[in-house]
Amino acid sequence: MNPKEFTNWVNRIYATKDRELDCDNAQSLLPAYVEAELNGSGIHPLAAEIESHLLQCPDCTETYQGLRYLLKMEASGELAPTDKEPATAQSRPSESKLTPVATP
Amino acid sequence: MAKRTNEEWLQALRQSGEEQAKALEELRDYLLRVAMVYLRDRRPELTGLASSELREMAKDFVQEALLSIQDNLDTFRGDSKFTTWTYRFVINQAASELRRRHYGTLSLDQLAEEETAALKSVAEATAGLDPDLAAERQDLMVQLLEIIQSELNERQRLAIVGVHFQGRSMQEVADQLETSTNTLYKILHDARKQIKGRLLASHLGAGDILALFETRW
Repeated sequence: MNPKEFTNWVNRIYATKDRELDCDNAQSLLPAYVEAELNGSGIHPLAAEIESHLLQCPDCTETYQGLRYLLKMEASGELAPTDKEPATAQSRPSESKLTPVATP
Repeated sequence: MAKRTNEEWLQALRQSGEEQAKALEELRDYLLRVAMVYLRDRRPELTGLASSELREMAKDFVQEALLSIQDNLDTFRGDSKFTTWTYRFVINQAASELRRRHYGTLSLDQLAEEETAALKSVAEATAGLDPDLAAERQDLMVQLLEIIQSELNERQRLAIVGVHFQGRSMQEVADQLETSTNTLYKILHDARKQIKGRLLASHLGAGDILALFETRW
């Protein structure tokens, strides 16, 4: 562990709350939390608790980041049906331009 | 895919017969696109994979995700779009499987040695430091090691070393400890509380420790 990693760890220790959401609870709240974040509908009532959990949990953070990305892609029409398959990273054009269709 | 409300999705998926089959097919097709985009854009370790291989991988993940979705329909809180909720299953299925493929060698016996080694490496990063500062850092590491070894039980120490010091995924360490990631989070939470409590009882705040490291790495 290098000193920078150590100081990040120290911050995580001191950021510990007496009561924290566990992964099952955090996971169940993430869809609504991310939707609220992205559509500007306001702050989720448990935002502070969710953010405390994400600070401490790399696996749930991955879920959170994945949800944010997919919701942004959905909003831009990138998940809509098309007659083309999504390109691979190699063959993908510099800007992904799938035919926009109404999203579900 | 026809637009469905949350209630329409739930009702169709809870049916049996043709209505359920149609809903499952729609959901499967949609989540396949979702999975392909996720694997393409969020998983750099898959760069270079042929489209056909990516698609097969996506199909496997979606199939498993659909089983979980059907098993967990009653847990949908209704506070988000149903489709947003289903994305979570796809992401977690993919992430979980891809993590498993990248597990390093994790020996529980070796983890016991790691707690000393990890803190020792921080203490020894003293090149160019003022000798008094270097000595303070070393004293702090000795204190931390004593806290970890006296306050934490074996499972807590293994969890801290595996997840915090070695940066392994929660899932990998949970598998090694033969527990769930949810339980592992609780083990880590208890461990963190104990470490924090002892540090504060020793009148060591975050600022006191970080001040020893803020000037030079």
